[in-house]
Amino acid sequence: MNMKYALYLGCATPVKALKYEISARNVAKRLGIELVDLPEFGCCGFPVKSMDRFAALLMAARNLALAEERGLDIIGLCTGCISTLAEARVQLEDETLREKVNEKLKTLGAAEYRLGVSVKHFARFLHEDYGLDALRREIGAPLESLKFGIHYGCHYAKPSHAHDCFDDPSNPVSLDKLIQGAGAKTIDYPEKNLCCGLTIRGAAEDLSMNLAGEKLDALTNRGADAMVVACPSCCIAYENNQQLVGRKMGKEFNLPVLYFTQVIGRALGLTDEELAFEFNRIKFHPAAR
Amino acid sequence: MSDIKIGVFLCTCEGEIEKTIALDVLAQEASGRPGVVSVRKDSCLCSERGIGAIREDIDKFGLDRVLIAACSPAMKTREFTDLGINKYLVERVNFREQCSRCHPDNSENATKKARALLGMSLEKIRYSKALEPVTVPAVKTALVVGGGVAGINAALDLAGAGAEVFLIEKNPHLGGKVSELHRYYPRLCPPSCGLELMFSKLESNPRIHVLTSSEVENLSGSPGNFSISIKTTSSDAIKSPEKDQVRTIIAGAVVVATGWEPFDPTPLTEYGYGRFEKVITNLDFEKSAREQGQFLAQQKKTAFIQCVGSRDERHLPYCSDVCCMVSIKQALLLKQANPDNEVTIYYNDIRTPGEYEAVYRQARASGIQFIKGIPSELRQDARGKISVSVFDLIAGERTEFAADLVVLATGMKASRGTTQLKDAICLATNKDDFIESHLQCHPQDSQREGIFTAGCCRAPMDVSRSIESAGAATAKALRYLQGEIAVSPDYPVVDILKCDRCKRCVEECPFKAYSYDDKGFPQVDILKCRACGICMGGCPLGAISLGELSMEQLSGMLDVLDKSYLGEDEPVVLGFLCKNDAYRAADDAGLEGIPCPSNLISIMVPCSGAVNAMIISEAISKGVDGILLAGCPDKQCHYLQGSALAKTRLADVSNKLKEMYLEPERVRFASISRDDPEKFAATVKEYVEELKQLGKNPLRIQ
Amino acid sequence: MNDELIDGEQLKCCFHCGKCTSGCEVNRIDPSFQPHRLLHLIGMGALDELINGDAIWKCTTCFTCSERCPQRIAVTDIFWSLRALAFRSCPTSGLLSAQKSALFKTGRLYPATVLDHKKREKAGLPALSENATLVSRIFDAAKADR
Repeated sequence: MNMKYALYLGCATPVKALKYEISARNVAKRLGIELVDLPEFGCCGFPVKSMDRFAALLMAARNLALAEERGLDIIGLCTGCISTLAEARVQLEDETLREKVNEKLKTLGAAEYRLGVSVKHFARFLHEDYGLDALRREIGAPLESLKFGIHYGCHYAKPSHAHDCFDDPSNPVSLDKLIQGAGAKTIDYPEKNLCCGLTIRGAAEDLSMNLAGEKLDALTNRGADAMVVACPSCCIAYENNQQLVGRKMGKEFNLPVLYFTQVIGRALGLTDEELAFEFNRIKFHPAAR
Repeated sequence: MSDIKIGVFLCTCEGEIEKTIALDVLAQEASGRPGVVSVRKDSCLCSERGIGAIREDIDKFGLDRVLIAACSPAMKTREFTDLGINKYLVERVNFREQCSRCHPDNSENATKKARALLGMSLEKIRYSKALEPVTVPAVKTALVVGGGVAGINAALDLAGAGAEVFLIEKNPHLGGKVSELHRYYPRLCPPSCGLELMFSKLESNPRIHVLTSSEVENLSGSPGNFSISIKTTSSDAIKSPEKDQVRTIIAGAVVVATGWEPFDPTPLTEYGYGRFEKVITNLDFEKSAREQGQFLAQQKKTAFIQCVGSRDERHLPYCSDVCCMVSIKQALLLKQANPDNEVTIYYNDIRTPGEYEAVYRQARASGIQFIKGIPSELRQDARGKISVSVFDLIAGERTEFAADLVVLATGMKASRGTTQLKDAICLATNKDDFIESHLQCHPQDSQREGIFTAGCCRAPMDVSRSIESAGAATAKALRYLQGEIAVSPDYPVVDILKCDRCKRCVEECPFKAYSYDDKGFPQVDILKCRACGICMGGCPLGAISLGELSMEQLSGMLDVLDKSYLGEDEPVVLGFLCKNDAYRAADDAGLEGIPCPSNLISIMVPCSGAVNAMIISEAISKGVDGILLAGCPDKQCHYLQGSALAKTRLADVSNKLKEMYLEPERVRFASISRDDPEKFAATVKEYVEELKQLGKNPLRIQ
Repeated sequence: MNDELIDGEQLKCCFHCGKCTSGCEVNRIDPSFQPHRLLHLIGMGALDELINGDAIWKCTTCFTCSERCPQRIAVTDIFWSLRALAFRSCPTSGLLSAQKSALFKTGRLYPATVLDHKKREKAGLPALSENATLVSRIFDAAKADR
C-alpha cells in the first residue's frame, strides 16, 4: 500500500485549528503514513463558489494539478475543502470543461490537470485505505468507558457522488467505527445529521447559532464526554462559539470538542502534547466527570 | 416478353385526373409498349361497372397482369384486390394524389411525370409473381407463463375460445401477488373471493393443464409451433434434482404473465426501512392486515408517504400507476376498522383516473388527511414512534406528525421471473426491464410474433387492467390457435447463391425472425417476420428481396426511368417513401391541394430501412439527380429501427459519393410524420431547389 | 458556468414534491426560507428579485436537498449560482466583502498574522507560504474573454 500522500491543509486549519493539524500529523507519523507538504497549495475555492463558479473551479483544479505533478494523491483535514476538491475532480471528467480549465491554468503558469488524483478526507483514508483492523492492532490504550457524540458535518459524506458514496449521507457510520475502533462508545442521536451552521454565520447569525446550539444541547443531555468533529469550521461553530451560543439559549454549555485525530491519537498512546490538548478551549477531563 | 399479357387501365376519376394529365396521349403510348395487349380509359374504375369492365378485359384478352393508373395505391384497396387474378399481379400507379392533385397548374409537367411513372410500373410488373399466401399448420395449444391473476384469466379466456392451455407457475401455488393482498380496490373486496372463483373455473376446465413449481427452460420453433421445454421441480422439502421433471410442449402462441416485484426502499436510507420497525411498505401492510386480525384497528396514527423511489431519477424513473389508489385503499381500511384512526397521506400528485376519482373523494370525505409535500426523512423517537416532519406546500408551513406506523408507497418493478424468461426465450425488454411492446399501437405484442403479454410484466397496472390485458392478449393470440396460420407472401427471400453469410440480416432484424441453417446461411421464419424489409435494405450484396418488391424490380425501374423526363434542366428526384408515414403524407399533400414540384418520382417501400444502399448508388450512377429517403421520425418507426438504419446507410452512401467526387447532397433523409403533408411538400420543394443549384448529375447521359 | 444550472433542464423538471424544503434544517428554524419556492420563482422570471434578496444567503450548503431531489436538481449549486450572479451585479456587497477582501489581499480566507506564524513555529509546524495575488489572478483569468 502506498503510504505517501500530499497533505492538503486549506485556509482554516493552519491558522484556526492548530490542534487538528498537530494531532493529525502525529497520528499519521505514528501509523507510518507520510504526509508531504506542498507549499504551493492555495485556497480550495469553496468561498469563491459564491462569487464566480468558474474561478472556484480553477482554484480547485490548480490544487489537483499540483498534487498530480508530484504523483501524489490528496489527504485533507477540512471536509469543506475535501468536498470542494473532490467535486471539482468529478466535474473535470468532462473533457470539454477540462480542456477549458487547463487552458486557463496554462495562462496562469500552472500545471495542467489530467485526472490522475484521488481526494480523500483523513478519516475516510483511515477507514477505507488504512483499514479498521490495522488501526485496531495499533491501539494500545483503548478508551473504554468514554462516550462520544460524533458530528460528521455536511461535507464529510456529501455530495455523495464526489466522495464515491463511501458512507451513507443519511446514516453515516465510518467515523463512529473509527472511534469505536479506539475502544470508545458512540451515541446514536436524532440530531446527528444536523449542520453546524457556520457558513451562514455572517448572513444569518441567529439562525447559525440556533443550529449549533441544538446539537450542543442534544449531546449535553445525552451525557456525551465530548463532541468529535472532523472539520475546523465545525469546530469553530461548536467550540469557539460555545459560550456565545449558550448565552443565546440561556444555557451554559461545557462540552469539550475534540478532533477525531485527538481521540484516536490518545488510544494509540500519543501524549497530550503530541495531540495538542492544551489548545482545547473546553478542557477534556473525563475522569473528573 | 411475348408470354406476358398486360392490361393497362387509366381512370379519369370522373374527369378530374384527365383535366391535368393527358390520358389519351398516354393511352396511345402505352398500347405500343411491349407486353401491353389492352388499354382502357374509364371514368370510374373502382365502381361496380368499372370493376366489371376490368374483369371483362381480363377474360377477353387473357390478361395475366393488370396495371391500374388511378388514385393512390393506399386507396380503394379492397375494390382492386378482387379482380379475378392474383393480387400480386396488379400494379397500382399513383396518378391522382401524387400527380394530378399536387401539380394542378402544370398540365404539361404532370403528364410528363405520369409518363415516367407509367413506364416504371410497366417495367416493374414484368417481374411480378403470382404469390400465394402460405398456410402453415399450427397447434391449437397455448402456453401461459405465470399463474397470477393475469395468467389465470388468460388461461380461462384462451380455453374459452377453444384452445388447449398449459398454465405454468414457478411457485408451488397459483394466485401471484393478488393472493398476498388483504383487499383490492375499488370495491375493497377480499381477493380470495375472486381468486377462488377463478381457481374453480380452472379446475373444472378439462382444457387447462396447470403445472406449478414449473418454469420455462427454453423456447424454440415458430409461432404456430413453438417447442417449449418446461422444468418442474420436485415438491419435496429437500430439493432433489433427480426428481425434477422436464417435459416439452408444443404451443401455437405464448402469453407471458410473469408479473411484478415490489421496489425495495432500503437504499433510501433516509426513510429507515429495515432500521425502524414501524416503517413498512404497502405490501407489508397488506400482509399484516391479512395475518393479524387487530392490525387495522390498532393503528391510531398512520402516515402514508407516496412516490418512495418512484418518479425518481435515482431509482424508478416511472410512475407505477397503482400506488395512489393502493394507499387510499389502505387508508380507507384503517378508517373502516376504526373511525377514530388518524390517517395522513403525504403526496406529490394524486392520480386516480376514471371512476377512481370517486374513491379519492370518499377518502377525503371520511377524514383522511391529504398533505402535499413529501418528507425528506423519517426519525424514530425514544418511544419507537416515527416522527414525520414535512413542509406542507399548500399551507405554506411545516407540520409534524408522530406516527405509530409509516407506510411507504413503493412502486412495481419487473419481476425476476420476467428477467429469467427473457433470457430463456430472447424477449425484448425496455430500459426499465419490462417486456417491450409498441405501447401506442400494439400494447399486447412483445416484438416477437406469437408471444404476447398480460399483466404487470409489461407495465405496472392494477388488477382490473391486468384482467383486461389478459383478454387482449388472448384475442391477439387466437390468430395462432386456429389449427393453421395463413402467412402473407410478402416475406423476404434470401438468394443463397449471392449470400456470403455476413450475418447482417440476422443481426439487424428487429423481430429476430432470422436464424442460421446448418450451413450457416440465414433463413427467415416467415411466421416471425413482419415484412419490413430491413434485411433487404441492409444486405451488402443485394441478396434479399421481398415478395412484393424485389431488387431486380427496383433495378429495372431505375433503368427505364427517363432521367430527363421534365427536360434537360430539371432535376429528377427519386423518392423512397415509407408506406406507413411518408407515402401517406405525400398522398395527403395531394388531397389537401398542397402543390409539390413534379420532379419527384416516388416509390413506396414498407419501411425506409428497406432501401438498399446498392439501389441508391445505382440510381445515382444511372443519372438520377437526387435521392430522397423519407421515413418515420425515429421514435415512431413501426419497425423500431428502420428509420435509424436508413439514416446510417445514407451516411455511408454519402461518403461513397464523396469518394466518387460527386456531391453528397445528392442523397438525403427526411423524417416525415404521417400528419405532416406540409412538411413533405416543403422538403421536396427545398430539395429540388438545392439540386437545381447543384446542377445536373454529371453521370446523366443525354 | 454560473447560469447553466438556472436555465437547465433539471430545474425545469421540478414537480414540486417539496422534499428539499421538508428536509431543510434552515427551514425548520426559519420557516421563511423555502428552497422549493425560490426555485419555482426562478422559473417564474423573478431572478432579479432573488439575486437582490436576503434569502439566497441563508443556505448552509449542507447538500441534503441535492442528495434527495428525485429530479436530480443540484439545488445547492443553484444557490451558489444565484449568489455568483448577485456578486457579479454588485461585487462590493456587504455580505461577501470581508471574505473577498481577505482572499484578494492575502490569497487566504483566514489571513495568517505574525502571531499565527509564530505559533506554528513554536509548535514545530512548517511555515506557511505566501501567495497573496493568487486569487485575484485566478479571477482575472476566469473573467477574461467572458
